[in-house]
Amino acid sequence: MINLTYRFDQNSSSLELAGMPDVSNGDSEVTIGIITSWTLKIIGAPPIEGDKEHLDNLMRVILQYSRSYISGIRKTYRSHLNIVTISPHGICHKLLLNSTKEGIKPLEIILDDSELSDLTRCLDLLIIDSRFNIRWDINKEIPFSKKYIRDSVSIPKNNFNFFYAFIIFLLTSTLLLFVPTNNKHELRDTANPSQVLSEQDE
Amino acid sequence: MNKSKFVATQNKYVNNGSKHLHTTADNSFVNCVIANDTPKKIDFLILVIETLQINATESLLLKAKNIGLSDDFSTRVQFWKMRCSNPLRNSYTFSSLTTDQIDSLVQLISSMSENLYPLIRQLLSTKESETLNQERWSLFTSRLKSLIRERMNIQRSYVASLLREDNNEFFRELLVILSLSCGEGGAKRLKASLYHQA
Repeated sequence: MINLTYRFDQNSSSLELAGMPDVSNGDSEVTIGIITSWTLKIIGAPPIEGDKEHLDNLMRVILQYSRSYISGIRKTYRSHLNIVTISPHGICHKLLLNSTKEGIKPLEIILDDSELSDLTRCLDLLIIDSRFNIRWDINKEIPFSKKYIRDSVSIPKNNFNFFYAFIIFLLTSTLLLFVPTNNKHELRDTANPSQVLSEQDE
Repeated sequence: MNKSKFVATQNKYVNNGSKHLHTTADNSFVNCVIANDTPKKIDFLILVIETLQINATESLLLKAKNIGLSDDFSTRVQFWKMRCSNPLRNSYTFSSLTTDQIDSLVQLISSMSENLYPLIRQLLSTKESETLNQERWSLFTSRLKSLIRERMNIQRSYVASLLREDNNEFFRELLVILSLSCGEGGAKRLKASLYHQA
């Protein structure tokens, strides 16, 4: 039996996968068709291990979060059965991993932007790697609707300059309405100028 | 037999052919329209690349040639014309980007951000020395702001607010976009963020 191990390194993250070719599927001897184990090492956190389903959950949640983050959306994503959860944590991101084994406490990892992008790159590299003949259970990168973005952006980034200008215009106009004007005086001055001219000629 | 193959893989920005890749990526964009802020976003991303790399325009054109992009990248003028679709520019041409141009620019940005990834990562990291980080950010923002002053219409309130603000939130967002745009997967992610579902 051929056991293969491939590793993807990106600065703070290292993802190692072990497996074997699926001969029934026609895999070559350097292709992994069946994953037997995987280990994710993030600097400053204990190693994370699991089976294919756990890796699918992790990939789906991280890639969804990164997809949202690139569109300026910061919201929590959870996998099936809440095995993997990622949520915003100040300017960082909190990755919460629940073990499927009993008696093991959830693991919490705080990632900054650089670590999140390292982890995302590791997963991106895995997906496109031709040495893996595996169908990953992940979502496609699709555009969001305008409504979804509008509803999901937590802090509205409106530019209030136009609003302030409008308020100032309204206030000024209201004040000008109260300024008294002598309409009769103006009427007398401008009344029948041709008659005045004819009187001067005489 | 145990056969161990440890490989530190670097993405070559080429689809090296995983059998289960989504080959119908363009189908995801069938009912989609280009987002209003796409020209602005793309131009600012290129501006950040120019900030991080001296003489970046030459590198961008060379990279475009290397990855086989279209005639839009053959000369500086053609490239500049595309960037002038950003309404915040001094020399705004009231033109819009085509989907082919967006695809090319996404590939180019993704490829360049992969080259500049170590620098981008340094700026985004919170685990390094705070003093060193502040110095890096100060250098980065001063250079980026000088490029904005040079190229953008500073009469626009948005541009003025970018130059005035000290929290650099927008600049950080641009760096995050670049960091998540590296490689083939990143290019798909970036492209998806430039469109809206109709």
